[in-house]
Amino acid sequence: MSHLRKHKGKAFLGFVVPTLILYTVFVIVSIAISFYYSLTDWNAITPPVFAGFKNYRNLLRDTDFWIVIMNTIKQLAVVLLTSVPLGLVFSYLIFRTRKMFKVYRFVAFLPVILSASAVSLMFTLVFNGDFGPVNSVLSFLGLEELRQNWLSDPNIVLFTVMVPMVYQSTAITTIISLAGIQMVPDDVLESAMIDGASSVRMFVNIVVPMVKNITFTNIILMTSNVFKSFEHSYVMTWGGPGVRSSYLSVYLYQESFQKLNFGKGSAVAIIVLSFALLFSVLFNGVRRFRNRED
Amino acid sequence: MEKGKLRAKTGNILKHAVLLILAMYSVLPIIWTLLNSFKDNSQIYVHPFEWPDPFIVENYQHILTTISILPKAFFNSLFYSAGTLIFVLLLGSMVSFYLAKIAAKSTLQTYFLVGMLIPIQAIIIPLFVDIRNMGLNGTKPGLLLVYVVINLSFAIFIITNFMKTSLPDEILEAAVIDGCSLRSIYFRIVLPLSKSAMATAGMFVFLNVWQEFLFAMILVNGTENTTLNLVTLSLRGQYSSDQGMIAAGVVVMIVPTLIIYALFQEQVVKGLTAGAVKG
Repeated sequence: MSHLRKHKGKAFLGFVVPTLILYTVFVIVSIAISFYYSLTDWNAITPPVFAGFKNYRNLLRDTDFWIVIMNTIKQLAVVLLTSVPLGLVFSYLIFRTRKMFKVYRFVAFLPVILSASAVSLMFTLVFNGDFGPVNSVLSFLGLEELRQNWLSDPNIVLFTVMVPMVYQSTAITTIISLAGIQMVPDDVLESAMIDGASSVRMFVNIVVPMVKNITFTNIILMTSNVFKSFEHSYVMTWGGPGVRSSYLSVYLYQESFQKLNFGKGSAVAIIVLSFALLFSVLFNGVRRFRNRED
Repeated sequence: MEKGKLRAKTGNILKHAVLLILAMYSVLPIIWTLLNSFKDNSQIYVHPFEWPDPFIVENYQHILTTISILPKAFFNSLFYSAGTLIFVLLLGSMVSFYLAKIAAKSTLQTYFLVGMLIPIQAIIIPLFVDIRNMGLNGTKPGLLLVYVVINLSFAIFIITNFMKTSLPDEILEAAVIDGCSLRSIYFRIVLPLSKSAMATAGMFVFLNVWQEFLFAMILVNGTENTTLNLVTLSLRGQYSSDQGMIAAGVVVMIVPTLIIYALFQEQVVKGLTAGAVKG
């Protein structure tokens, strides 16, 4: 390394500085600017006027905002309770296949290769009240009374827009869990098999504990995905009726770019950022704590 | 081997049953949409599950006539994805070379990783204002700039990790002693030897941009620089009663990514796992 190090200064100027400037100006500085905007009254056209914490106070009093927060938290709970365990089970089953491994893997990962907007558009057809397969299957099973207006009934739209999210999230957790299981040393699993451990017991006693860190990674990734998720809600229902199927990012978009309230929008942006950081710090803390226990 | 015998037969059947359900759950909505894209509205309403009869291609023709910008939007999307890939890999690998081999500064590396932690919504308004102030609103360079800056962190993360572990110092040292300039070391040695990490990061960035929706919507929606994602979604608004056409729109959106996935399955899977597993 010593010879390369001699050129440190020149290399920094040539290799790092252009990117460093670009990244600092547009990413790092933007975070600070977001916070500043959140303290202003700003209609996106005339200059911003400093308003202190008014936007935050207004948000806390806004019933729509609380519905959106609750929607986001419900989505987080549903995604964590479905995608994370399902991903573990699916990846283990795929891992245990021999001949069909590549086929199952190809198919299981498919939903995440497709864009969220394409998947959402597809699910608007699937949940169509008149001819969509969901209602048709319910009729076929003789469950006529369970047929719903999936995309417009305010009491169930939130459930409907979660479906494509779970569809895609499970593919991600499956990919990542599979990578984790593939890193488990072969001899561990082989000696368990020679000892006559059943497939289920190997999963519960060996695989789950050994990919614990990967599961935490999945939890953190899913949390950040939930706070980013936009297309599923926006494409399927435009967040409606009202804000009944809106998530924080959809609400942010509507306040900022439809109602042109950049101050309020920025306050939502800062809240999204705080939530995302809070949860990743929280989960990382839990991970460190649990690792220390071992 | 022994393994085969040890596995209980019932367990095996159960395993394949669960996997089959998983496979159907992943694939059936896609196949159903594909079939409906070849039906007209009356067929879809009366026979939503049957094979198209007659098999019609009007939905696709209609898309091309009603969204005349579709082919252009396709090439725009290709431009954004490929352009971002080139800039991000070039800039990212230069920074990675410095971080991994010239001056291993962990604070600078952490600084570059912050971008991976923050949700893009947190900076969407300032970025929009920056682009507008530069007069780039609605233009290709404007959206390209946004895509480059939001993808840098990930590429730097992947490529730096690779160079640290898999790029031998000895070759670089020997090249310096032989009097090679840093630039030629970078172009002749570092880049060729980092191909696999570049492919992994590149695949991730390409798909990421191809699928991006929010920034495209606020920056180029309704202009001639729009993306494939955006124009096909206009079907949902304008022609929400013409289901066959929406189905055809979905097919148009997913076919390019399916082709990429089928051709580069290993790279795609690597790109999607790399960030998470190493982190």
